Amino acid sequence: MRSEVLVNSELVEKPAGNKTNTGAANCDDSKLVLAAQQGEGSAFSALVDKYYRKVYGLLYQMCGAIDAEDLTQEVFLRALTALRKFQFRGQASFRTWLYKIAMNTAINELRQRKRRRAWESYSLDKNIELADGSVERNVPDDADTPQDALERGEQQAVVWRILHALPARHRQVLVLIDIEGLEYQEVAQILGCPLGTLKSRVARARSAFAARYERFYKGGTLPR
Amino acid sequence: MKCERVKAKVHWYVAGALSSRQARAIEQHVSQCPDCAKALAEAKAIPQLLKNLPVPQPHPDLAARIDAAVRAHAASRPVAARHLKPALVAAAALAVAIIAVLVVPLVHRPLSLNASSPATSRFAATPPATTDTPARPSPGARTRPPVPADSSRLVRRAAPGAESRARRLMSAGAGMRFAAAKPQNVPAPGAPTAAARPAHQDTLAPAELGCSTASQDLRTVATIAAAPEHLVMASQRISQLPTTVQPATRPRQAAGLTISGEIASGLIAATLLNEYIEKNVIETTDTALAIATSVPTVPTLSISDTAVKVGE
Repeated sequence: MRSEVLVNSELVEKPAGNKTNTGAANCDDSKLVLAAQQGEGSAFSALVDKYYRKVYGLLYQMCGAIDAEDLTQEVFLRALTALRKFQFRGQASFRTWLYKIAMNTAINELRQRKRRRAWESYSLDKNIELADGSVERNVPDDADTPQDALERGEQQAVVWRILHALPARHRQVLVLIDIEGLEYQEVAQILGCPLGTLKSRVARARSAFAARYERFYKGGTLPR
Repeated sequence: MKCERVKAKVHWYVAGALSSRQARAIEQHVSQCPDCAKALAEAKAIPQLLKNLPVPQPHPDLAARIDAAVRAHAASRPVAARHLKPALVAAAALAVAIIAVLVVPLVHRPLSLNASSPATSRFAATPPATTDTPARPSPGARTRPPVPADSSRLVRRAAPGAESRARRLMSAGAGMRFAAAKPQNVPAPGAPTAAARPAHQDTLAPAELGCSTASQDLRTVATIAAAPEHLVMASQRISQLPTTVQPATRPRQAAGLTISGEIASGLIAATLLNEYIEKNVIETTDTALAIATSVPTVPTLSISDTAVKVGE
């Protein structure tokens, strides 16, 4: 057990992307986790300090800016609740485990939104029924055209909106691999799927993204 | 390999999802086909396009907010509950399951009275151990009894009175058990209860415990939010329970009374499991512990007393 902890702490020391430079952030994850499991509040605070930006980034890319902060807080509370069950075993690192919680939280949130939308939605094609007959529903199309977006020099906004128009399972892999730069192996653990399946999902997601991107630049509209 | 097939596969090639044979075929094709080479270059550009998205920055006080939420969350969890041994929890859960199997036929049967009955009135007229004891909820109500703000104060006051009530309950329990051997002493359903009984008689019928039904009693117990030590106590008491109790061979009321301690123990354990392990909710009241420790030699009875105390 002890040796596993030491071995895995090496994995934890090479996170992808931005690294925070505070003293706490440089502490060994395994030591912090063990201390937090023994009820040391400052150890968990150090873990929060080290990872909250990355978790926020994941949730922002998955769910958008509005709920990202609340969801980040929810992720850490879930982590705190489940921390007792966490063990450094095999290739699992605290970061992988935390990202898994974050992804599950994001997927839950997206499902809830979908349900809310289904509940609140109405058909744009359906005519409005009035006492003296029905009239066509005229809904203004405020989706951006390529010219609009390009004139404003918003390529990143285009990428962002196409990304957010993708199904959650596609967005998930693009966020983790292409945006966050995680390794396939780690993403496979986060998503709980075999490596081969993950690679196919990545290919399918990029293919879907490319198709929408190309469609947009050939004169299509940007998803809202 | 045809161009259409290559173009359909470029994303799989970039993602490394192709076999080495397929990958070699694509490499060979694109080296000779500018059109497919362009498609491959576009496929390779997509990860970069996504990587160029700006890194979102959270509000500067997010870490502090999370810290505050974490502290509040941690403060709401009892220290002991965080360190409860899984074996103890499993043992308590197993005991609850076994008891539930034994008791289910009994708990659905009303013991006898409702809140407005004479027996209940008599019980209510008995001076309680504390004047600020919360009122007993109406039958069927699932509301949690209000928890006193200063539970330690309640503990100091509750203990002496609880002891005398424990004695009365002990008498009640003894009476019922004795009645199993002498059926003429068992209060039959509808028989005269406390109101009709001479005032000097110190034995209470089950209905006088202040519970309209056994399940009501259990629900009341289940609403207790007690200190984590109670789980330990409850599980210990479950293990101490007499194994000779045979509900089917005893008069129902006698058996119900005898077993009420078991049910209470089990439900306290179950409540604590739910409250502390899963929901992480705690509202500490030491009433149950105080009563239980005030009659340490009659553990089962003390748990019954706990139920009555809370149900008052």
